[in-house]
Amino acid sequence: MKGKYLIVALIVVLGLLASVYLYPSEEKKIKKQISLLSKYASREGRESAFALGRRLDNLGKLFAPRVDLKAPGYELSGTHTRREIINLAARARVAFSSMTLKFYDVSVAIPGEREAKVSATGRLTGISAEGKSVDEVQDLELTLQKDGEGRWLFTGVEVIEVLRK
Amino acid sequence: MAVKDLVRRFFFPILTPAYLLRVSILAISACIFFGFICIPLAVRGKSMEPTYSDGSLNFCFRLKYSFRGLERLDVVFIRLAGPGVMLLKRVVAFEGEEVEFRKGRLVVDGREISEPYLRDQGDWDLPPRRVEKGNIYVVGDNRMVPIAEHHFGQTPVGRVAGGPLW
Repeated sequence: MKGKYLIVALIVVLGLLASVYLYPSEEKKIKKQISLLSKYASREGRESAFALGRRLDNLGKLFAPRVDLKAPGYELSGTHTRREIINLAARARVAFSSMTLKFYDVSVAIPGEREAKVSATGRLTGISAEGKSVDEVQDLELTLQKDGEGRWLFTGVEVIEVLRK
Repeated sequence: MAVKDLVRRFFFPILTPAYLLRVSILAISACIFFGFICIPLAVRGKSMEPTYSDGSLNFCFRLKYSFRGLERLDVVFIRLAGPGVMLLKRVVAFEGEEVEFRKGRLVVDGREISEPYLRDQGDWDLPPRRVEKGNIYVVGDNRMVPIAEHHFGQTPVGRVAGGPLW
Protein backbone atom coordinates (compact mmCIF):
# COMPACT_ATOMS: atom_id res chain seq x y z
CA MET A 1 0.00 0.00 0.00
CA LYS A 2 2.83 2.34 1.06
CA GLY A 3 4.62 1.61 -2.22
CA LYS A 4 1.62 2.86 -4.20
CA TYR A 5 1.62 6.16 -2.35
CA LEU A 6 5.32 6.52 -2.92
CA ILE A 7 4.93 5.97 -6.66
CA VAL A 8 2.06 8.50 -6.83
CA ALA A 9 4.12 11.05 -4.87
CA LEU A 10 7.10 10.45 -7.19
CA ILE A 11 4.90 10.93 -10.28
CA VAL A 12 3.47 14.17 -8.87
CA VAL A 13 6.96 15.51 -8.08
CA LEU A 14 8.27 14.54 -11.53
CA GLY A 15 5.21 16.12 -13.16
CA LEU A 16 5.78 19.35 -11.27
CA LEU A 17 9.46 19.39 -12.23
CA ALA A 18 8.59 18.70 -15.89
CA SER A 19 6.00 21.50 -15.95
CA VAL A 20 8.51 23.95 -14.44
CA TYR A 21 11.10 22.90 -17.04
CA LEU A 22 8.75 22.82 -20.03
CA TYR A 23 6.72 25.92 -19.16
CA PRO A 24 9.20 28.34 -17.56
CA SER A 25 7.84 31.44 -15.83
CA GLU A 26 8.23 34.83 -17.48
CA GLU A 27 10.96 35.66 -14.95
CA LYS A 28 12.92 32.57 -15.98
CA LYS A 29 12.54 33.48 -19.65
CA ILE A 30 13.94 36.96 -18.92
CA LYS A 31 16.83 35.53 -16.91
CA LYS A 32 17.56 33.22 -19.82
CA GLN A 33 17.80 36.26 -22.14
CA ILE A 34 20.25 37.86 -19.71
CA SER A 35 22.41 34.76 -19.63
CA LEU A 36 22.36 34.68 -23.44
CA LEU A 37 23.41 38.33 -23.52
CA SER A 38 26.31 37.42 -21.25
CA LYS A 39 27.22 34.44 -23.46
CA TYR A 40 27.13 36.26 -26.80
CA ALA A 41 28.88 39.40 -25.52
CA SER A 42 31.79 37.45 -24.04
CA ARG A 43 34.87 36.51 -25.98
CA GLU A 44 37.50 33.87 -25.24
CA GLY A 45 40.69 34.53 -27.13
CA ARG A 46 40.81 34.37 -30.93
CA GLU A 47 37.64 33.61 -32.83
CA SER A 48 37.02 33.00 -36.51
CA ALA A 49 35.13 35.51 -38.65
CA PHE A 50 32.34 32.97 -39.02
CA ALA A 51 32.03 32.44 -35.24
CA LEU A 52 32.17 36.19 -34.65
CA GLY A 53 29.44 36.84 -37.22
CA ARG A 54 27.20 34.18 -35.72
CA ARG A 55 27.70 35.46 -32.19
CA LEU A 56 26.95 39.04 -33.18
CA ASP A 57 23.91 37.92 -35.13
CA ASN A 58 22.63 36.02 -32.10
CA LEU A 59 23.40 39.03 -29.91
CA GLY A 60 21.38 41.30 -32.22
CA LYS A 61 18.38 38.96 -31.98
CA LEU A 62 18.18 39.65 -28.24
CA PHE A 63 17.46 43.34 -28.88
CA ALA A 64 14.33 45.12 -30.09
CA PRO A 65 14.53 47.08 -33.39
CA ARG A 66 15.14 50.26 -31.37
CA VAL A 67 17.08 50.37 -28.13
CA ASP A 68 17.55 53.27 -25.70
CA LEU A 69 21.01 53.49 -24.16
CA LYS A 70 21.62 55.77 -21.19
CA ALA A 71 25.19 55.84 -19.97
CA PRO A 72 26.37 58.99 -18.20
CA GLY A 73 30.02 59.65 -18.96
CA TYR A 74 30.00 57.56 -22.14
CA GLU A 75 29.25 58.65 -25.69
CA LEU A 76 26.77 55.83 -26.26
CA SER A 77 23.65 57.52 -24.91
CA GLY A 78 20.72 57.75 -27.31
CA THR A 79 18.42 55.54 -29.34
CA HIS A 80 20.14 52.89 -31.45
CA THR A 81 18.92 50.47 -34.07
CA ARG A 82 19.62 46.77 -33.76
CA ARG A 83 22.32 47.09 -36.43
CA GLU A 84 24.00 49.88 -34.46
CA ILE A 85 23.98 47.70 -31.33
CA ILE A 86 25.68 44.91 -33.31
CA ASN A 87 28.27 47.40 -34.60
CA LEU A 88 28.91 48.67 -31.05
CA ALA A 89 29.38 45.10 -29.84
CA ALA A 90 31.73 44.36 -32.75
CA ARG A 91 33.82 47.44 -31.92
CA ALA A 92 33.97 46.45 -28.25
CA ARG A 93 35.15 42.97 -29.19
CA VAL A 94 37.93 44.39 -31.35
CA ALA A 95 39.10 46.44 -28.36
CA PHE A 96 39.52 43.28 -26.26
CA SER A 97 41.60 40.18 -26.82
CA SER A 98 39.37 38.42 -24.29
CA MET A 99 36.34 39.63 -22.40
CA THR A 100 33.71 38.23 -20.09
CA LEU A 101 30.42 39.90 -19.26
CA LYS A 102 28.63 38.58 -16.20
CA PHE A 103 25.52 39.72 -14.38
CA TYR A 104 25.08 39.57 -10.63
CA ASP A 105 22.18 40.32 -8.28
CA VAL A 106 19.64 40.05 -11.09
CA SER A 107 16.17 41.02 -9.95
CA VAL A 108 13.21 41.05 -12.33
CA ALA A 109 10.05 43.12 -12.03
CA ILE A 110 7.19 42.67 -14.50
CA PRO A 111 4.92 45.69 -14.04
CA GLY A 112 2.95 45.09 -17.25
CA GLU A 113 2.05 42.00 -19.23
CA ARG A 114 4.54 42.85 -21.98
CA GLU A 115 7.11 44.96 -20.16
CA ALA A 116 9.80 44.04 -17.65
CA LYS A 117 12.48 45.89 -15.71
CA VAL A 118 15.64 44.19 -14.59
CA SER A 119 18.09 45.49 -12.04
CA ALA A 120 21.54 43.90 -12.11
CA THR A 121 25.22 44.51 -11.57
CA GLY A 122 27.15 44.07 -14.81
CA ARG A 123 30.80 43.09 -14.56
CA LEU A 124 33.11 43.24 -17.54
CA THR A 125 36.50 41.61 -17.14
CA GLY A 126 39.13 40.91 -19.72
CA ILE A 127 42.32 41.91 -21.44
CA SER A 128 42.32 44.88 -23.77
CA ALA A 129 43.95 44.70 -27.21
CA GLU A 130 46.92 46.59 -25.69
CA GLY A 131 47.31 43.87 -23.06
CA LYS A 132 45.84 45.90 -20.20
CA SER A 133 43.69 44.12 -17.63
CA VAL A 134 40.13 45.48 -17.38
CA ASP A 135 37.66 44.99 -14.54
CA GLU A 136 34.59 47.26 -14.69
CA VAL A 137 31.42 47.01 -12.66
CA GLN A 138 28.23 48.98 -13.27
CA ASP A 139 24.81 49.13 -11.71
CA LEU A 140 22.41 48.51 -14.61
CA GLU A 141 18.73 48.85 -15.28
CA LEU A 142 17.55 46.87 -18.29
CA THR A 143 14.15 47.20 -19.91
CA LEU A 144 12.59 44.40 -21.94
CA GLN A 145 9.42 44.08 -23.98
CA LYS A 146 7.65 40.98 -25.16
CA ASP A 147 7.20 40.79 -28.92
CA GLY A 148 4.33 39.17 -30.84
CA GLU A 149 6.05 35.76 -30.68
CA GLY A 150 6.39 35.87 -26.89
CA ARG A 151 10.13 36.61 -26.90
CA TRP A 152 11.50 39.11 -24.39
CA LEU A 153 13.71 41.63 -26.21
CA PHE A 154 15.93 44.31 -24.70
CA THR A 155 14.57 47.80 -25.38
CA GLY A 156 16.66 49.82 -22.96
CA VAL A 157 19.95 49.71 -21.06
CA GLU A 158 20.67 52.33 -18.43
CA VAL A 159 23.90 52.66 -16.49
CA ILE A 160 23.09 53.96 -13.02
CA GLU A 161 25.75 56.35 -11.82
CA VAL A 162 26.82 55.12 -8.39
CA LEU A 163 29.83 57.39 -7.88
CA ARG A 164 29.78 60.92 -9.25
CA LYS A 165 33.07 62.80 -9.24
CA MET B 1 37.97 3.44 22.66
CA ALA B 2 35.86 6.42 23.75
CA VAL B 3 37.71 8.72 21.33
CA LYS B 4 37.23 6.25 18.51
CA ASP B 5 33.54 6.10 19.34
CA LEU B 6 33.31 9.89 19.38
CA VAL B 7 35.03 10.13 15.99
CA ARG B 8 32.73 7.49 14.56
CA ARG B 9 29.66 9.29 15.92
CA PHE B 10 30.95 12.62 14.54
CA PHE B 11 31.31 11.30 10.99
CA PHE B 12 28.44 8.80 11.09
CA PRO B 13 25.90 10.30 13.50
CA ILE B 14 22.70 8.57 14.48
CA LEU B 15 19.94 10.44 12.69
CA THR B 16 17.64 11.14 15.59
CA PRO B 17 14.96 13.90 15.34
CA ALA B 18 16.89 16.01 17.87
CA TYR B 19 20.07 15.71 15.79
CA LEU B 20 18.26 16.69 12.57
CA LEU B 21 16.69 19.68 14.36
CA ARG B 22 20.11 20.82 15.60
CA VAL B 23 21.60 20.50 12.10
CA SER B 24 18.66 22.39 10.56
CA ILE B 25 18.93 25.24 13.07
CA LEU B 26 22.69 25.45 12.48
CA ALA B 27 22.24 25.50 8.67
CA ILE B 28 19.50 28.17 8.78
CA SER B 29 21.52 30.32 11.23
CA ALA B 30 24.60 30.05 8.99
CA CYS B 31 22.54 31.05 5.93
CA ILE B 32 21.12 34.10 7.72
CA PHE B 33 24.48 35.11 9.25
CA PHE B 34 26.61 34.72 6.11
CA GLY B 35 23.85 35.79 3.71
CA PHE B 36 22.60 38.93 5.42
CA ILE B 37 24.78 39.96 8.37
CA CYS B 38 28.36 39.06 7.58
CA ILE B 39 28.70 38.50 3.83
CA PRO B 40 31.95 36.83 2.66
CA LEU B 41 33.64 38.71 -0.20
CA ALA B 42 36.85 38.56 -2.20
CA VAL B 43 38.57 41.89 -2.83
CA ARG B 44 39.18 42.40 -6.56
CA GLY B 45 41.24 45.24 -8.00
CA LYS B 46 43.88 47.55 -6.63
CA SER B 47 41.75 50.57 -5.78
CA MET B 48 42.16 50.13 -2.00
CA GLU B 49 45.82 49.12 -1.91
CA PRO B 50 47.81 49.03 0.31
CA THR B 51 45.03 48.72 2.94
CA TYR B 52 43.19 45.90 1.13
CA SER B 53 45.10 43.98 -1.50
CA ASP B 54 43.79 42.34 -4.64
CA GLY B 55 42.61 38.79 -3.97
CA SER B 56 42.30 39.11 -0.20
CA LEU B 57 39.23 37.78 1.58
CA ASN B 58 37.02 39.74 3.91
CA PHE B 59 33.46 40.04 5.16
CA CYS B 60 30.96 42.84 4.69
CA PHE B 61 29.66 43.37 8.23
CA ARG B 62 26.24 44.95 7.70
CA LEU B 63 25.92 46.19 11.29
CA LYS B 64 29.33 47.86 11.51
CA TYR B 65 27.97 51.41 11.31
CA SER B 66 24.47 50.72 12.59
CA PHE B 67 25.23 51.75 16.16
CA ARG B 68 27.85 54.48 15.88
CA GLY B 69 27.21 56.07 12.45
CA LEU B 70 29.79 56.88 9.80
CA GLU B 71 32.95 58.81 10.59
CA ARG B 72 35.50 60.36 8.29
CA LEU B 73 38.06 57.85 6.96
CA ASP B 74 35.82 54.85 7.68
CA VAL B 75 36.01 52.14 5.03
CA VAL B 76 32.65 51.15 3.58
CA PHE B 77 31.12 48.75 1.08
CA ILE B 78 29.03 50.56 -1.53
CA ARG B 79 26.15 48.47 -2.85
CA LEU B 80 25.45 48.30 -6.59
CA ALA B 81 22.37 46.25 -7.59
CA GLY B 82 22.80 43.94 -4.59
CA PRO B 83 25.37 42.39 -2.27
CA GLY B 84 26.94 40.15 -4.95
CA VAL B 85 29.39 42.81 -6.14
CA MET B 86 30.20 45.89 -4.08
CA LEU B 87 32.72 48.71 -4.16
CA LEU B 88 35.17 49.08 -1.27
CA LYS B 89 35.97 52.75 -0.60
CA ARG B 90 36.93 55.20 2.16
CA VAL B 91 34.61 57.98 3.29
CA VAL B 92 36.39 61.34 3.10
CA ALA B 93 33.56 63.90 3.24
CA PHE B 94 29.94 64.28 4.28
CA GLU B 95 26.96 66.25 2.97
CA GLY B 96 27.46 69.98 2.76
CA GLU B 97 31.27 69.71 2.88
CA GLU B 98 33.51 70.89 0.06
CA VAL B 99 36.07 68.35 -1.06
CA GLU B 100 39.04 68.74 -3.39
CA PHE B 101 42.49 67.34 -4.17
CA ARG B 102 45.50 69.64 -4.42
CA LYS B 103 48.57 67.89 -5.82
CA GLY B 104 47.52 64.66 -4.12
CA ARG B 105 46.54 66.25 -0.80
CA LEU B 106 42.94 65.71 0.34
CA VAL B 107 41.35 69.01 1.36
CA VAL B 108 37.90 69.20 2.97
CA ASP B 109 36.36 72.64 3.65
CA GLY B 110 39.76 74.21 3.06
CA ARG B 111 41.46 72.02 5.69
CA GLU B 112 44.03 69.39 4.73
CA ILE B 113 43.10 65.90 5.95
CA SER B 114 45.90 63.61 7.07
CA GLU B 115 45.78 60.21 5.36
CA PRO B 116 48.26 57.93 7.13
CA TYR B 117 47.05 54.85 5.26
CA LEU B 118 48.41 56.05 1.88
CA ARG B 119 51.50 54.42 0.42
CA ASP B 120 51.98 57.31 -1.96
CA GLN B 121 50.05 60.57 -2.03
CA GLY B 122 50.11 60.80 -5.83
CA ASP B 123 49.51 64.04 -7.69
CA TRP B 124 45.75 64.21 -8.10
CA ASP B 125 44.19 67.58 -8.76
CA LEU B 126 40.43 67.93 -8.46
CA PRO B 127 38.63 71.27 -8.25
CA PRO B 128 36.43 71.77 -5.17
CA ARG B 129 32.91 70.33 -5.24
CA ARG B 130 30.21 70.27 -2.60
CA VAL B 131 28.78 66.98 -1.36
CA GLU B 132 25.02 66.99 -1.93
CA LYS B 133 22.38 66.38 0.71
CA GLY B 134 22.07 62.71 1.68
CA ASN B 135 25.42 61.86 0.07
CA ILE B 136 28.92 60.98 1.20
CA TYR B 137 32.16 61.33 -0.77
CA VAL B 138 34.23 58.16 -1.10
CA VAL B 139 37.70 57.51 -2.53
CA GLY B 140 40.03 54.51 -2.78
CA ASP B 141 43.39 54.42 -1.00
CA ASN B 142 45.46 53.78 -4.12
CA ARG B 143 46.33 57.23 -5.46
CA MET B 144 48.92 55.88 -7.88
CA VAL B 145 46.08 55.11 -10.27
CA PRO B 146 45.55 58.06 -12.64
CA ILE B 147 42.60 60.15 -11.45
CA ALA B 148 40.65 59.54 -14.68
CA GLU B 149 40.81 55.76 -14.17
CA HIS B 150 39.96 55.71 -10.46
CA HIS B 151 36.32 55.24 -9.48
CA PHE B 152 35.45 57.66 -6.73
CA GLY B 153 32.94 60.39 -5.97
CA GLN B 154 29.75 61.08 -4.14
CA THR B 155 27.08 58.50 -3.58
CA PRO B 156 23.85 58.32 -1.57
CA VAL B 157 24.52 57.27 2.02
CA GLY B 158 21.77 54.66 1.56
CA ARG B 159 24.14 52.73 -0.70
CA VAL B 160 26.46 51.97 2.21
CA ALA B 161 25.98 48.25 2.82
CA GLY B 162 28.34 47.98 5.79
CA GLY B 163 32.04 47.85 6.49
CA PRO B 164 34.83 45.29 6.25
CA LEU B 165 35.17 43.05 9.30
CA TRP B 166 38.91 43.82 9.54
